[in-house]
Amino acid sequence: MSAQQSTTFDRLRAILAEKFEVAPELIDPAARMDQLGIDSLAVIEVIFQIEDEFKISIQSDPGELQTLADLVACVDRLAEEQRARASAGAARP
Amino acid sequence: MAEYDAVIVGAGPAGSTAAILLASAKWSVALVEKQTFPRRKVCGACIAASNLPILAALGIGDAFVRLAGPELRGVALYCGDGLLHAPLPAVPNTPHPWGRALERDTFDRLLLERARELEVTIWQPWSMRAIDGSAGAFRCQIEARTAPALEELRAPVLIMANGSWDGDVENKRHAPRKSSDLFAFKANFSDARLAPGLLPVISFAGGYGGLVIADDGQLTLAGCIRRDFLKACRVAAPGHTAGEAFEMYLRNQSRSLRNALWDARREGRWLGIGPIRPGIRATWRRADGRFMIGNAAAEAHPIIGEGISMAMQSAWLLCARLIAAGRSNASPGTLLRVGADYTREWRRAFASRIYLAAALAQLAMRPWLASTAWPVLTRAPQLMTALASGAGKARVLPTFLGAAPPGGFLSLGEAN
Repeated sequence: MSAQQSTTFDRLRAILAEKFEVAPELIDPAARMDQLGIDSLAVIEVIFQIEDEFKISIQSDPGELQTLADLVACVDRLAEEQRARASAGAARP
Repeated sequence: MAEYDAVIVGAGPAGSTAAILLASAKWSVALVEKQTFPRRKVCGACIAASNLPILAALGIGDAFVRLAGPELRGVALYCGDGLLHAPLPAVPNTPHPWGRALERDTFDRLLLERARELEVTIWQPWSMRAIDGSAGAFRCQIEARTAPALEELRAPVLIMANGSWDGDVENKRHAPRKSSDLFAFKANFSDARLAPGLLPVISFAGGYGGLVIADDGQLTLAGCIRRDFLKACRVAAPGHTAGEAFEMYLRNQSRSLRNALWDARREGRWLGIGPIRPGIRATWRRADGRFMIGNAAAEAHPIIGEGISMAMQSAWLLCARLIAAGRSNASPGTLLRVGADYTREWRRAFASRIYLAAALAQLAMRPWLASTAWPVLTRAPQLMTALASGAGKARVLPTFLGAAPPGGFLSLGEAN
């Protein structure tokens, strides 16, 4: 796991622990969302919180984000794309 | 490896209905469900009277009437400060001419228990991992959800009843993100003030909703809201969940809803899901001959509250044809004819309802537009009754009224 992913994971862990009352000891990258008590009817709330925290727009089908590692990868990819778009915009004359 | 006459994916109302019907006709059936029960669903819980003959034939008619909420005899429209009432259409010449509401955790359990009684093999919680083969010889690889285990199920007939979310197991597609994406929410309330038997529809800017008294006297409030409107709601309600922000917005938008929830207490948290994808998908895949029923085939805008009805009725339409064809005669050619006939009948039964639901949803999400129809609806509230009829609330397909399709299902159920 990269340093950036670790940071993302830590921020996700904070969101899950604070907003969704998930026991911190259960929050592991391999943990499935439903094992954390985040079923398909709660995952939308998690996605909204993550979008607010990371200022990104998650396109994925919630069903595909099955583990925390999936979420971390998705967030990092979107954040990277957003940074690339911002750089491209800044480079324009 | 295990062999069956049919494998059905998904144990919601569509999948369990299909399993019961086929098992009643002595087919060996595997029903694969990835979730454990009871499970919660974002669902308005309404079951129209048009389904009561089906429930009786399935053998759960009496249990449904005993457990469900009061008979739904009236429809109302909440729009801003406005309120209109009209009767709901009744199904003529039946012992139960009105629909009722029953929460999905109870309803799904009733259906699944009936399937179990009929010796359907229930793989739960197992999920579909891969599908190979084609009509006449499907090979399905399923995976246990609670332990590392794989199993192969073989059957000539494969029925996908896996709802809106899992869709195509092999080919996930991403719809582009749009402001008009609809998110659905649902919560239950106790001590609400709503006349039993009334089914109000709420029209508000950016969405629509409905409320009903279901089993145990609890009020079920469910609704949809566009992504852009939901975002504004959340900005206006910092520190609250999206569901709570939705509730605050709804209370602001409708005086009648505020009154209904005046002393009400929410039981549990808001459930949310989305974006929902109403529309017609496919009833039958020509490439490999698998069948689709329920939301896997198509999804109506939930404004008409016909999702459960269409799920069960589509299962009936398909299974009647499969049973008529015969379980020992499930050759690719026979299944091709079944698929073509099922598709034709499905369109006749549901396409107009899906288009009407889409039109009503677009109208309801624009209260300024709905308000232009208000004077007409005030003078002629029977138009609301007619719209409910058009949505299928009292549309009993001839095959559901006593005329048992091949297989003699009615002899296995209760004589209602």
